[in-house]
Amino acid sequence: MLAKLMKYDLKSLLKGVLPIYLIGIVLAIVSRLFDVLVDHLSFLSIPAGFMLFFFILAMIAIPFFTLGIVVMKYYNTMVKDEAYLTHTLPVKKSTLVLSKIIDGFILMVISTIVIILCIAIRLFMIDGVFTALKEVWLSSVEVLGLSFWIIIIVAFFLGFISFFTCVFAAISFGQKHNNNKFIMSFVYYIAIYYINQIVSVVLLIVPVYLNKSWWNTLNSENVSIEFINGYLLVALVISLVMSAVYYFITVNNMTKKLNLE
Amino acid sequence: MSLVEFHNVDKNYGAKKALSDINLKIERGHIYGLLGPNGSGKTTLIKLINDLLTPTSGEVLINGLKPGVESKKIISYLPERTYLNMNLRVEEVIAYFKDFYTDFDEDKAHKLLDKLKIDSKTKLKTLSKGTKEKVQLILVMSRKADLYILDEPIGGVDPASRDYILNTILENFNEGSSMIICTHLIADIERILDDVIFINDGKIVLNESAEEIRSVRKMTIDNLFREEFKC
Amino acid sequence: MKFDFNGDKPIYKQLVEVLKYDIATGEYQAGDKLPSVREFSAMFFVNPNTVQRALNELEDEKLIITNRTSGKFVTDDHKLIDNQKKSLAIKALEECLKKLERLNISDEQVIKYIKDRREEK
Repeated sequence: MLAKLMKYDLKSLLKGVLPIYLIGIVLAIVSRLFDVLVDHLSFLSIPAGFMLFFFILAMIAIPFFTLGIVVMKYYNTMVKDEAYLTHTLPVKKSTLVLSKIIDGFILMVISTIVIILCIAIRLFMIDGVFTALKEVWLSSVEVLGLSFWIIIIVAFFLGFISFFTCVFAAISFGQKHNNNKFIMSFVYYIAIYYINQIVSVVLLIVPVYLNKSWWNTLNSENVSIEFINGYLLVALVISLVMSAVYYFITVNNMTKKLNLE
Repeated sequence: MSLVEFHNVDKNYGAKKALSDINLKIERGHIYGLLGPNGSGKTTLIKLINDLLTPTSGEVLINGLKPGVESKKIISYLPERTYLNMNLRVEEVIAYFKDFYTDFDEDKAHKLLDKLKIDSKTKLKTLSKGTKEKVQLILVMSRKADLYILDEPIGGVDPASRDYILNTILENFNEGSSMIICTHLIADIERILDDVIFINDGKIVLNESAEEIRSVRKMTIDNLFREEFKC
Repeated sequence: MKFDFNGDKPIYKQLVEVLKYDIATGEYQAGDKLPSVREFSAMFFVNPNTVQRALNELEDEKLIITNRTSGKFVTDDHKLIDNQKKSLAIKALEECLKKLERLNISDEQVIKYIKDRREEK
């Protein structure tokens, strides 16, 4: 069932994001071309500048656009008219919500790959760029260690899951209202955002502040990468647990407190 | 054990009582008309059967079980609105239904669509409103369900389409299955009803066999309705 | 074909009358296979259970026979069908004659009318 749900939703989501991804790739190619042409035709430097500007704009737009499409699709299929079909499918609500979270995650991964691809195209065969990047990577691994970067990358992707569980939970509260569902969902999201902030402070900062030895270590110059990695790992676990909590809250609201128009 | 049972069901939206003390049995092989004015609680009752709402108190049982995954397998529901993804083509929606409902009869759906001359490659959003509604009806009636629930299947539709819809319902209605038709256009459908349920202000005010009403009260259902719900 | 059934009388009874008439006029010949309950239901635009009830009554009167595997058939009994034809004809005549009586039309006027009509054909 999970695979079936994902198959159809992903198809629909990809159709939605494809235009902006294509625009990004085209802008990368065009901007790179202008780059080459500017060396020979200096009067093109202004259009080249614009192309670069639009390219950067597109790179920033892609993740936001993707997030937006995932959230809108979720809202339409779980709260609006299409919800009458979704919620009468012979599928458990928990499976339904899980499929949407995974879909969102997959789409954010794809958008990340697209951005990397676009940047690679934009920097294609520019003297020394890839050598320079490689140097930066190797030296950072030397200083901070591979584990650190692995944790950072995992945290990056977990962040997507965290975002979607929070948004979906907010929507699950917003849909309970008879009027202004969309606005109320927004309000609940802000509330959840602040709750997350408070939880982060309480669980991550206060214990460190209260434990003198930890506090001193963090403030000293000899803070080890292992300590930082440990700290980041704890933050990761807390984020994961909170995502799970928001997931269960969403499923509960959509099962027992469903209120379609 | 009846197909659907309501035991002392209340449903409140905050202070508003949408349904009060509903006791109801839906038997197999019968066509029910759920008739009542707007705001009477028809849609709320339908949503409770479809697990789109949970009762405030009391219980709804389908084949003896609470509404859930199992009941959704045997209920085919036509809501009052366009509930399909309009960006899909007709053939994609059919594939979707086939994938999720094991009782979906793909051949029947294609046959019915061919009769309407609807090309399966058409995008739903290009169809007229009336045609969209017919497509939704075809999908619902192409399932071999135990219970069909049609919410206002002929509201807002021209008379020729109305005939088509009612004819489709009768010709494709699975023997042994039950059906609940929610409507306020009583005169058009009363002949196909076995049983008639009148609902008003969240309460059931009548639950009788249509032929009984005709032989005992010597009235059409439409006239009885007008009498019961006189303003 | 949608018959205008009276919604304020039991429909199954009206359907019984319609089907008796159809059998008597030869719309369904002796021994013919009848449409299924669902087909009748769509044809007359009437509830399937109502159709079944009407067919049951016709079966009680032996005008229809149910073969469990192949469906419902009009009886082979020509005499029964003829009797049915006769009783329907008498009923039609009685209704007609009662109306004519109320209009003060004499029997002779009726007979003359019938003769003239036949000659025109």
